[in-house]
Amino acid sequence: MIYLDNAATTYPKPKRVYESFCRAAHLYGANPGRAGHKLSVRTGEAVYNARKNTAAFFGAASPECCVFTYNCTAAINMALKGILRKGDHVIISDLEHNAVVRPVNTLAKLGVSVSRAHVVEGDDSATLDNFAAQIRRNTRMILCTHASNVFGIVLPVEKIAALCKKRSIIFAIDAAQSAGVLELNFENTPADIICIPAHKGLYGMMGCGAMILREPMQFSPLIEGGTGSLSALPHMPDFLPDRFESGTANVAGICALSAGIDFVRERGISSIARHEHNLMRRLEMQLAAVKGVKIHRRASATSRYVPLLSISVEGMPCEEVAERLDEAGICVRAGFHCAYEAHSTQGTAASGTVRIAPSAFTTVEDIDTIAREIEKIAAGHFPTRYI
Amino acid sequence: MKRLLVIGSITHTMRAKEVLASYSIASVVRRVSNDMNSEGCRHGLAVKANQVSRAAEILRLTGIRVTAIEETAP
Repeated sequence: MIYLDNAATTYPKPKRVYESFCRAAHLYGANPGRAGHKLSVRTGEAVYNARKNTAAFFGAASPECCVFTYNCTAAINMALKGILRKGDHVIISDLEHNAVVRPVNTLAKLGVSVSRAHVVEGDDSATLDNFAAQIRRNTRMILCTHASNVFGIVLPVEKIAALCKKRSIIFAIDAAQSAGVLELNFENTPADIICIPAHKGLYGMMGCGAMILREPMQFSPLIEGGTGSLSALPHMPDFLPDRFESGTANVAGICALSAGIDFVRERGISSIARHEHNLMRRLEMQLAAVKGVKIHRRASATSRYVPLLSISVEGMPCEEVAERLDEAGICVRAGFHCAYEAHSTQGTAASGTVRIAPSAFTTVEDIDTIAREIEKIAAGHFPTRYI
Repeated sequence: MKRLLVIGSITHTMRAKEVLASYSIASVVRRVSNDMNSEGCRHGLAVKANQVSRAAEILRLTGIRVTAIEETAP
C-alpha cells in the first residue's frame, strides 16, 4: 500500500511514537493529578514532561501554557468560544477549514460579527492588506489557518501576528497543516494562541491535540468539570492548564505526541520539508505533462506552500479518481476536505479535488507510482494493483 | 522532619519539583489533605524542614504560587 493521505493524518508513525504510546498504556495506568499514590504521580510526571516538551517546541512561556485537547478542532473551538462574546468582531480567512467556519457561524448567530479576508495566492502583502482592511473598532480576534489543508497555500502569519500586536487584537493560528511542517513558534510569530493536532506533521496519534498559549491568558473554558484541583469550588480553577483541561486526559496520546515532537526535532523541520517538497515538485513536473490533469495552484516565485498537491482529472469525479487509485493500492483523499469555503474561493466548489500529501516516510518510488497511475486514469486505463 | 509546600495543580507541582531539583533541593510530590476550610484537592511538595524557607523563596521568585506550608508525615 502507498499512503499519500498524510494531510488527514500521517501514517505510518515513527517507531518511537508507537513505543511511547504502548509504554504509556502499560506503565502509566493511573489517572494523573487525581490521586497521591505513586502510579498517579508517575503518570502525572509523564504528562508534565510531554507538556514541557510541547510548550518548548512552540516557544511558550512555561509548560502550563500548553493545554492538551482531543484534537485541533477542540483547541480552535476553545479559543473562539472562550474569547468571543456578543458584540465582538472576528476576522478569518477565506481558506478556512470547517473547524473554523462552523464555530464562527454559530458565534455569528449569537451576535458575534464575522469578516473574511481574501488570501491572495503568491502575494503576502496583498493578503495582509486584506486582513488590515477588515479590522474594526470592535475586532477582538483574528483566527486563521497557517496553511490551507486543500491547496497548501501558506498565509503570512508572522505579518498578521505583528499587525494584531500593533492593534491589540488577539491572534490565534490553526496550525493543523503546519505544525511540524513549517517553522512555527512564538519567537518567530508573535501570535497569542497556536492550535495543533498531534497526529499530522507532529507524528503523534489521533485523538490528541493542544491549544498553546504564548503566555497565560484568562478566558472562559469551553468544557467544565473535574480537574483534580480545588475540587471544593463549584467553578473552574483560574490557573493553567487546569482551567481548560477537564476530565481524564489521553495520557498515551499525550506521550506519543511528545515522542513525535522528538522525532521532528531530531530529523529537523527543514529537512523533512525539503524531502516532501522535492517529492511534490517531482510529482508536479510529471503530472504537468499529463493531458487532462489539472494541478490546482498558481505557483509563482513568491508563492509559499506546504507540501501537498490538489489535482483533478478532466471528465472524472474526484471520488472516482481516488477510488481507482485505491484499487491500485494508493490512499489519497478526494472531495471538499471539510473546507468548502476554500473550494469556493479557489473555484473548485463544483467538483472538489484529489489531494496528495506525502510524509517523512514517502519515497520517490511512491511518487513515481502515483504519477504513473494518474496518467493511466487520465488516459482511461485501469490502474495496476500494487499491494 | 518534613514540611509540605502546598501548591495546587499537579502541573505546577511538577514544575516546582523540577525547579527545586535544579537548586539541589529534593522533594516528593504529595496529595494535600483536605479539611473543611480548604478549596479542595491540591498537590504539594514535601521537603526537609530545614530547607522549607529557601524552597518557598525560590518558588516565589520563579513565579510558582505556594498557598500554604503545612506539617507532613516524614
